Amino acid sequence: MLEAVCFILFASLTAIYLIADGFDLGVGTLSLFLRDTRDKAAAAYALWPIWNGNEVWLLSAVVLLMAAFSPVYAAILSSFYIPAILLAAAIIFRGISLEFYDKVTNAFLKNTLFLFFGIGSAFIAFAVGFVAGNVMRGIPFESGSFTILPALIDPFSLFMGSSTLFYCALHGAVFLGYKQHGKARAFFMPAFIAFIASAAGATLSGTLTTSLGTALGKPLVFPAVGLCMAALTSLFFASRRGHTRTAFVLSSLLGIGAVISCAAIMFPNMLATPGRMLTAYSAASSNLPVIIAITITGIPLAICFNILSYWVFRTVRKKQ
Amino acid sequence: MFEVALARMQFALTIGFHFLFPPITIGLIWFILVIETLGWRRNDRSYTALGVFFGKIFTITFAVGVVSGIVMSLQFGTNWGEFTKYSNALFSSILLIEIFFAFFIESTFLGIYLFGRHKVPRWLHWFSIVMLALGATLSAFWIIAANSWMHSPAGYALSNGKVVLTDLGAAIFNKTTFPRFFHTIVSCLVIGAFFVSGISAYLIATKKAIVYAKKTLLMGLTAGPVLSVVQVIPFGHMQVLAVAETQPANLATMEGLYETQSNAPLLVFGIPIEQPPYITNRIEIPGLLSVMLSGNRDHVVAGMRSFPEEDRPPHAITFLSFHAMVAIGIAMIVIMASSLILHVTGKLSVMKPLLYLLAFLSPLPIVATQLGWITTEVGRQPWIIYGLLRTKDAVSISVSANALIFSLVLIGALYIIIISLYLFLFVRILRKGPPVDKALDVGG
Repeated sequence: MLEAVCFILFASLTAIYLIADGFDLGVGTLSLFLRDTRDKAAAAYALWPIWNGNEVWLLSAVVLLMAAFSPVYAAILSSFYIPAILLAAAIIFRGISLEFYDKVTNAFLKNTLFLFFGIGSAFIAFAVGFVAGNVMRGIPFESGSFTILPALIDPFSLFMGSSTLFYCALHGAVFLGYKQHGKARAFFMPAFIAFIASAAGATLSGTLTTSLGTALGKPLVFPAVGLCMAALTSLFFASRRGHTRTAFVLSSLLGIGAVISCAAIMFPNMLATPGRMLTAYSAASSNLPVIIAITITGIPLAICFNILSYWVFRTVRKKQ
Repeated sequence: MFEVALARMQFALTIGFHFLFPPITIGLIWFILVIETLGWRRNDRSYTALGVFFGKIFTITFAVGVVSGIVMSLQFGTNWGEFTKYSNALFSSILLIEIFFAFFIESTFLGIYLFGRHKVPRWLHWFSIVMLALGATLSAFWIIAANSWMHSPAGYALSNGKVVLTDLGAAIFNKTTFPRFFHTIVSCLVIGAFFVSGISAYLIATKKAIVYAKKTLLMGLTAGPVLSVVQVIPFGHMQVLAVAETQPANLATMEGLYETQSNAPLLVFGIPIEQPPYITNRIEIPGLLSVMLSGNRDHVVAGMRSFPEEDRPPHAITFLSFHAMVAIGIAMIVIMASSLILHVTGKLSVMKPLLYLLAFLSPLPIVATQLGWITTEVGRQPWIIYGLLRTKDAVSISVSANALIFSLVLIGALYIIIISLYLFLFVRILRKGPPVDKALDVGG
């Protein structure tokens, strides 16, 4: 029972991370397509006050996994050693690039930092989905070396990576729309179509090439997928009518729906490795009540802090 | 064994790099709070300008501290998987508390502090600095509590070869948490005092903002001597007592004591040789170590040789880093006290070489904190969790040597780039100086 609660809390933190950091990773990805200096600056200004808080959600999900399901955490990160280190490097360099971007004056350095911010954002979004895809399908090894890298690349994981990337791009485009960014409109449709295509690819390859197809009948899977469909459809119309705030809520719902779908497909399984299956029950730590107490009091508090900073910076920031 | 050495090198690199930055921000933010409070209450534009100026240094330092910290928590999974599994949820529960009850506070109010100056009411802006200072100090507390648990584990039971939490309060407030917390937090404040006075000295020497910078120079030099003394007595002393109580092998190594004896001498100077452990050129004060630890010359202190060889920490590094830290600590008291006297008598601000010297010496406490960190972490060896789990048994078994070399090189290269960028920006902020009102001050 407590194991299930912890699993749900982990899924919740993942969902919050996806919708909170998702839009700033998305803005970063889209910024690769910005040419005009003022457009770039406007994108960065929209993120500066809030990206830091968004990223803490990643830490909270990671540490909750470490606390509640330590064998899963250790197995995932040591097996995916190279991708995890690359991800860490990207997180560092992306953050530094974004923070230092407005503090350098040299045009070449400025553009390079902005480029790294864009590449880093896209890489993180893709890598998070890619690793999640591999974790979901199960890994045929438990070894953190170079030789296993080719085994990581399979259609489902690639589609999961690209779905996450394009979800972030879509969510980022919607956020830019809310912030009245000039290029938001141009970004919306390509991101929308790319997301639908890759999500369809992930569903198809997941059903055909992995054992996940059998899990589609689990409870909550269809309602969650239904939520995604409904959010996606309404998002299309809300965006066309220029309801930017509603659109942002809807693209957030889409992210929540996607995480619930994945979590519902997996539960109670967490990671399949050769010869054993780590589940929420077999991998749970011994002091779940403490972890649950910390997390359950922590989440509302953190959400309040997030809302406070979103509210303070709710309008478009102009350069002083 | 090669894998263990590589994993340890990587952890030393990442924690050493990370630990350069948060102590600066923790120390600096309290000074910024004082500066901004004066600027607000006295409606003094010079303080506000100084607040903006030190805020810029704070911002770039904070950014590097945050991102380099994320790597730390990932490494518990990538490189120290067995540690994570063994310590079960105990260690990570404390980290979880840190995230929810410190990181979110910091990140939220950082945004408001940095970008809200002209957007939110003045009180809310001020309040965000208060929260930022509290959040930073609180997060230091949680991470030090987690680290102290590895030094003096408490509140646990062993079951199936794993640690099981029995008492969260006892685990957090273990025997060394408070000595370690105070010793660390005061060292952060000393860093802040040295930074504020050193940078102000630079601003005066280069005539960028003489009238303004004299205010912060006085602030740094008033706090500096007090803090540097308090850092040694009582807090440094308390930390040594805590080590003596919980890690006697570490104490013997730090102090360079071979044989168990009463009337144990305090080694003031010596050159350590690693194998066989020996110290040449000794200068010692008979009986003082016994007296310092218990107030009594007859107090028996355990020597290195009384511990089995496999339980002794590396000798030379522990001894050297400890003694170098103490030496720098004493030097800092002298520097701060003499600078204050020179400043009060009006000599400091007209003696350019001294101002430059003070500026040049401002990173000194950072060196001391790094040395202190090395002493405590190397001195804990060969244990990762003292008395429970050895470091060699804590690494992820499945990670290969070439994967480790790859990550070490990648992170090393990345950190070189980041520190260069950081220093580049740091120097630029210094060169530019605070935004000076020409009617009130020279420079610009």
